[in-house]
Amino acid sequence: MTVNALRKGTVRAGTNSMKPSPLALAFPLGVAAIVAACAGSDEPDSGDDVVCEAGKCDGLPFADQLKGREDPIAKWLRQLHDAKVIDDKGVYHGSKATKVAPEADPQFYGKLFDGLITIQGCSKTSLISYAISDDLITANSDQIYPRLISTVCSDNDQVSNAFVATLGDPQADINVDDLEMFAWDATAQKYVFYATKDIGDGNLEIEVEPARCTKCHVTPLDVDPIGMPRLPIMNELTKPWTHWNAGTGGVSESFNVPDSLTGMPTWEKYQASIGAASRLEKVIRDANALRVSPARSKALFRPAKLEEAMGLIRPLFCDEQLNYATELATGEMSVDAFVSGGTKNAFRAIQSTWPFAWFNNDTVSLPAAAVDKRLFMMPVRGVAEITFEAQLHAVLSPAHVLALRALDYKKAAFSDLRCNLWKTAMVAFAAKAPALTGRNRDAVKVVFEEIMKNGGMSTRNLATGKFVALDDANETSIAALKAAIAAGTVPTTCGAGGFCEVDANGFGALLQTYVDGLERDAILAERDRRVCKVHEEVQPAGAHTTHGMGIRIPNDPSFVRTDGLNPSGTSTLPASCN
Amino acid sequence: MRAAIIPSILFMVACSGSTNTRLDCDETGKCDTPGGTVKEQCTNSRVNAMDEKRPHFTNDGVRWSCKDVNGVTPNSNTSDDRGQEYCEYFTMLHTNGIPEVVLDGSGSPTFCDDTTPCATGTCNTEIFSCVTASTVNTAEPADVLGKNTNGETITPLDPVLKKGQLEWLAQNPTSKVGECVFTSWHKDIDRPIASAEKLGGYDLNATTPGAANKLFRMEVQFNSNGAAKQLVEDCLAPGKAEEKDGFMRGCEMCGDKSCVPWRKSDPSVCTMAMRIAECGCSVSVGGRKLDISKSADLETVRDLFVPESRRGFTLGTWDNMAALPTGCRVVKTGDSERLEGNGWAVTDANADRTIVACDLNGSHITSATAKDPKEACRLAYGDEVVVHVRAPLAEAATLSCTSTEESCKGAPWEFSKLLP
Repeated sequence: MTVNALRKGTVRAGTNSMKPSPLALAFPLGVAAIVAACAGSDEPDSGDDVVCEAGKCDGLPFADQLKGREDPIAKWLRQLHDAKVIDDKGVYHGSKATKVAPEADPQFYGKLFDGLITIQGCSKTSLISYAISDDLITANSDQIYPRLISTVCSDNDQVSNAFVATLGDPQADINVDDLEMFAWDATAQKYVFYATKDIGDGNLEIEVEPARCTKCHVTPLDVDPIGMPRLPIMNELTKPWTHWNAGTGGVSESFNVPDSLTGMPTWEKYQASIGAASRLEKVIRDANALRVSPARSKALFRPAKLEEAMGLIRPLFCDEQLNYATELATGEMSVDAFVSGGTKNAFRAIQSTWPFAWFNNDTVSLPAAAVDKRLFMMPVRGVAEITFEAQLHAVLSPAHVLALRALDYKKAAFSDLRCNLWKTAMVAFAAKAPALTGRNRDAVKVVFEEIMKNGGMSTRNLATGKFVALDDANETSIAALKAAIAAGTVPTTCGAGGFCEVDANGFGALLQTYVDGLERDAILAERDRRVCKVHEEVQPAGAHTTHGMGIRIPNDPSFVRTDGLNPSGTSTLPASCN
Repeated sequence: MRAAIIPSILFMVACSGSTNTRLDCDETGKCDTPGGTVKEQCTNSRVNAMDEKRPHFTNDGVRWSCKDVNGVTPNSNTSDDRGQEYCEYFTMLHTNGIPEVVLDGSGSPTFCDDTTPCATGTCNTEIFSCVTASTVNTAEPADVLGKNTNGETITPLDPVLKKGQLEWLAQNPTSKVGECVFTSWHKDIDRPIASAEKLGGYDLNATTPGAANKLFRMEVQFNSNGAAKQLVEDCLAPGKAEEKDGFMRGCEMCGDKSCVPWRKSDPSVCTMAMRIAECGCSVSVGGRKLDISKSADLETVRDLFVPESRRGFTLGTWDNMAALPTGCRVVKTGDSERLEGNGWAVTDANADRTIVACDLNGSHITSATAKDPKEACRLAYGDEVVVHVRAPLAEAATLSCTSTEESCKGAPWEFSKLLP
């Protein structure tokens, strides 16, 4: 392997040499390197022997679209292509699929599940479908319609290998021909995305790695997705799994299905075995913990490269992915709504026990409130970045993580201060990159220091476990904080200025004071702020520029609330959102 | 509007300076179980019990998850209150069998590739680092972490993992490194287990390493068949009519009994028993109405709700008593499905579901849980492994109520009938 290849930071499968030792190399990199990497930095080198990149597969012969892919969906599609059921243009011919198992099931959907089960050696009864019902597709709160998300091998740890989703376009019966799906390629260490589209006469067009998937399954549109793997997403991840069928053991929140679907053959066939959303929650958590995060962390061991280091450290600064939490009638609400997810992990990494209620409790108990005053679909920090952040504890320190979480800590999600530190550093490093040596795990430490320095933040006493806490960032408080840092006059107790230098214990106490003082009106306003941020139209950044202008979170969920009985719902999108 | 954060207030009331009436608060102000007045404790436990999305009260009986309520935490490496809910849990970890990423003098992974061999271990070419092995060695029995040995005293929580082991675990998330064990085996059920099955290298009748109690049996005093029976008996009485919320009524009564109001389990069982009394319900066995003023009949009623012939309460999930979360399995004790009491007998397909083992994988052990893998078990499985306490099965006994109130029809303890 050449030094140039090393500079690109790519290691081809089957090549196990990294000489010369990357630990001895330095890589000052400029804007060109960053821009080059933005065009699919998680993809292998292009070339005859490699797979086509996301958004660049259509137009290739179907066999070439699948070339090099080892995920279970690719393997099954390859079988169908070999059997001429799928032609070279990627068209699935239903009329030629009569011998594809199960022969009694004429639908591609049923055959797909059977194929995925067979290829992975799983039980024929291991299919579980989950249902979500909202107005996401119709954008009309009077037209709620369900989608099915299915997994196979649901009785073992292969369950997070493949996900298949219907699209929810309202029809008389549920449409199982227009699908989106993705599957884990253990060789490439990433999820590969596919889609099908009904083109009539029982035929389906099969898309491999459609470009549009990248828009939703990486970072928000205004955050450069450099180095970002594509993620499985279940927006409403935690109890009460709003809009999801909670299953027979629970009571669903804002989930209802149009009466018109009752008796429809396809809906009845699959709704009979719908699983509890809590099971899908575990699958999604496992997909992050067992698949995406470990694969991403392997980059920490590669030769230092600025764009990779920036991609690895981004989850500390920016919200790469969100989940949405909803308050129960009892007033129970996830602590993560108020204390940034991942904060507890950093505290636990320091020591197991702390005296703070926010640390010891999974939930905050708010006074019970009328349904329209409850926190509904409140954006919180996403499971993907929290899971990966824990991997960075081995490289940075819990204090480094807390130093970020302590800045603008009253905004547990969507802090412009935190994310802008990363964004402005991206720009600054394009002009003058920090010198990096060794592996990315070494580079991440340097990059962290440089990002903070570039943003006028302090890391002065991090080595002794001390960092600066700022309660609420705004123009005035940021300016005052920067001035105090520059002058070396950051106080050790937080007063009217809202900032001070603390250790973990001090930060824990500040968080407790904040949580103890929560007021309903204020947290509703904070919820609305975050929801509006989701919907804010933003300039695309980095590789997102190919998608054009759009709202910040392209996979924004439905914010409609229903009572589970009426066919229509009430939008909870704040009227103040622009 | 001021939003009181209930658990926080409970902590403050219970722990602050001279107002501290709690014996379990340490010098940092940390209390390891919830405190406050009975009403405050009940307000706290109501959050779980009356969770409208996963109500504790169903037609079949009551249920709750093994995860403890807010505020029940470890106190130190050898003292822990977790496991309050007739479901104790602990970790079995093959600590010494977990390989390491070999670290150099600076604490960084030792580099290797095809042409740079490892002085120690072998080269993992995915991360270009030397590792001591590629698989977890489970030949030796696992370390037992966080198992109650006497009340809240436990075997050490911290396995003292090395930095290199944590690095290895991060790169091997699917490697199984041990078990999360959940047990509902009542403390006072002494019947040995007939099964020859082993778990983590231990026989199911084994004693806890370094202690005398049974490893797979609950140890906290009130996690017993006798305590549960007493709870049923004590709460077979109407609550205070002025309290309109059924759960609060039962829970506040529980505060006067052999019952811990802040738990999920005790007030739930108590509420169920209270509703039976409030609705004038009677239990008949073999066509004979039991007279609970007679000790023998009272004992039969107690045993119908908490049969001594069942080793412990059934462990299942929210959606199915006969299911478990993915990654978990029932450790069969070999107990008979035939349950018998005084004048009654019933076949219960779920009788032998009192010990559950869930996979503890590399992904579960991060820097956040390395010092307390039991917390990883709580987080990964604690809210999905569910304790089921059932009303007497129809085959064994019938329940009939004299009250004509609407709320007494069917199962009087059912969720919707408890709402104010």
